[in-house]
Amino acid sequence: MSQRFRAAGSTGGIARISHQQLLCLVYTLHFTAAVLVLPATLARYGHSGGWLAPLLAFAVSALPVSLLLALVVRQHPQRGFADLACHLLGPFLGRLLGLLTGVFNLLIAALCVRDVVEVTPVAILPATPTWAVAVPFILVAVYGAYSGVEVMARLSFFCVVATLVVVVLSVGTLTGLIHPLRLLPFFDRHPLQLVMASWSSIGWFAECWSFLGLAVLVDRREKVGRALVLGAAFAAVMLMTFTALAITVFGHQLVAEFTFPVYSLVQQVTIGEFVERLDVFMFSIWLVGMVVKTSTHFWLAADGAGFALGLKNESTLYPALGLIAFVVTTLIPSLSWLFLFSTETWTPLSVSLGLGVPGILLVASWVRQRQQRQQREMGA
Amino acid sequence: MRRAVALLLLLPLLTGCWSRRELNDLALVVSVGIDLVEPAVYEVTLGVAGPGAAGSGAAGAGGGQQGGERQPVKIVVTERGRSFAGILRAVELRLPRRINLTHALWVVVGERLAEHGIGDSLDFILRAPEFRLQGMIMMIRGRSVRELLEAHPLMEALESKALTEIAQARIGLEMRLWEFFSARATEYRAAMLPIVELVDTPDAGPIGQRYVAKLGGAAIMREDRVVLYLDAQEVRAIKWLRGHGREGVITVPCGEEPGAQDISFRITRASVRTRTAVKGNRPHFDLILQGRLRVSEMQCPRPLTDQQVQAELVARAEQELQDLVMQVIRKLQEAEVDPLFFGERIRALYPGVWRQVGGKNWGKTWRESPVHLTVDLRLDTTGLMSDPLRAKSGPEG
Repeated sequence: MSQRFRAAGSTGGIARISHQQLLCLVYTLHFTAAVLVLPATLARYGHSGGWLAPLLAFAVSALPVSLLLALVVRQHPQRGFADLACHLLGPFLGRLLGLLTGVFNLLIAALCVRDVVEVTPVAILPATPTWAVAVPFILVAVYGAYSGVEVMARLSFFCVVATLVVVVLSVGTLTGLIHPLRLLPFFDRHPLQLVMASWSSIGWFAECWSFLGLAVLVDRREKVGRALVLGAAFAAVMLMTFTALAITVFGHQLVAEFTFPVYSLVQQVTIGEFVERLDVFMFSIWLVGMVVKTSTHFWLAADGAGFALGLKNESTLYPALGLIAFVVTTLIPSLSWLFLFSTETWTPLSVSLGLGVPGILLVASWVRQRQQRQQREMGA
Repeated sequence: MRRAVALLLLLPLLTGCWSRRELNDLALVVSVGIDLVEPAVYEVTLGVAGPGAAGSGAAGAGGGQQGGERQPVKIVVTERGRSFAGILRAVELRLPRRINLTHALWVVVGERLAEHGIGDSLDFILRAPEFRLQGMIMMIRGRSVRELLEAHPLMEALESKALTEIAQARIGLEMRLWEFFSARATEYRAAMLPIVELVDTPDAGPIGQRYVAKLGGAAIMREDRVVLYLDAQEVRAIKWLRGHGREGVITVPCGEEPGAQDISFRITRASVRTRTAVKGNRPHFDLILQGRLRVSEMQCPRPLTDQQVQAELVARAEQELQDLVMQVIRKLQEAEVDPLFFGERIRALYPGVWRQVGGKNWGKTWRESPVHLTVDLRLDTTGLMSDPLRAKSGPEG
């Protein structure tokens, strides 16, 4: 079976990213979409202890899924996504996995576009029609995917640095408004409160099973696990930080009522009563992160779908994927429907796939290795 | 790297001129007032920055000069209706510009609305993305909202700017919108509203009016209506308990016998520590107020360099502050309102107890909770003078 690495854009070269770039990419993919909408859900169900929920979600979903994925990749170095899928599952099931990965990532990309379409009118463009926000964003994201995943990986480093600057700025300027006691108690009724609060973020963290297409591109396979786990852990810590900051300033009762509590929080950031309205600047950073996330998911979708359909060049799929994402975006009725979808449908689906797919691959890998060992013994 | 740059250059596609409006097509609202005129009928008053606001600096009922004509510094419009959105539309039917709320940094609540019950009448502030929650909120007492917004301030072009500056100096009570709504979102913390009054004063003569707006006391709310008023003196205690006691002034008699002469201390540092204990489901609070003082005025001919005199005067200041703070705490407990963080401490540190005595029952629990106060003030400096000129002390007496 010929090796099949995803060509980097139009250069025809072999795509490679470092484990540090994978870490930054994983962080951006986990953190960016969640930071604006998640804190309200965390405060609504977890109350004052809701800020701990991302840590629980990391431990329950991101950590096991990342470790399973890393194990699969480590056991089969020098194999790309398509080669791995075919080798472990056979051509038919391998292509099915490719199709599943494609559809899953396309859905995530469409949900990202919807997030942008919901937030942008609130932040900067109140009178702009939805399609006028969605179409340029999809064009940029598709172009980003076409440029190749290495470009996104490099851009994600900028996102990491920018969000660190934002959190340092927020903590520094909002210190006088912080009431640390608002973070207590961790749960005011029962510990299951935290589980309920972390439910939607469990689904979001479990999406990392679809990063298999990224993990196989890392130059040093033995570092893949570390990159996946650390990226997710860093994202969880940052989500905790922003949620905790919002709760200490506004109180969990008000945070639960906001649609975008972190956006309302950064509106309070001023430097010496002189530099104000930094929320637009921070919105721009978030938008860059969303471009990285959406582009990467488009790339993964093209990678999986291209393999499933037997295409030599996946870049021909991008216009179709962009169109499908636009259509799916318009089919989503409202933000409240999206919240309901993420808790009732997306989380169970994502967790099932998150634990199921790497698990099946590992089992298949074990079976293959056993067969190969038996063949060698019989040959000997 | 080039691709990354190209990608970044494409990002401006995401901005656009779709909802572009020229500046001179906008009516920049700088203050919003709301009051109740009949059940479910609100009166909204908007203070709009006029064309003269950009050019004018100091006081004056007039505005900037433009083409030889006086441009108004501000325009006040009032409209009545059942909802804020409907009222705004009605206002736009007679204003030649579109209303823009992004610069509305001051919200005034009318007395009738505050006493009747705010309910969800201020919901539009939290929902509209244009409103910035770091704006101020206050309550007008004794006059209508329109009279307040029409009044011309001393030394500023716009009343909203003047009162915002006074509040930000923390001489009076400062209440931001986010803080107000944060309290309203809970069922145990009482929201507070600083009170603005129009006072009759000759200071306003040069600008052709009788009244000037003054930041005074505070209104404390239970749920959504005012249940307690505090005067400006009592607001000092609230500021101390919020950790904003700095820049306050304590004035006490300075003579050996009670008399008309006083000494004034300026507070240069202030802090508050709260210790909480629960004894048999009953919270107890120990408050320690600590501060550093500077003598700003001494009317008695007593030697301030004398340690005994210092100690005596500082002790009087401590007693005065102690009496004031305990008086306010008693008032708050009688009204069963907790605008500070006492309930928050019990909820955070004793969740089991909170489940029984907190939440909606916190008012009654707070009423019965003993509060013990210790005041510890120290004199840092007597200013640029040591003893007053007529003090009988030292070798030259």
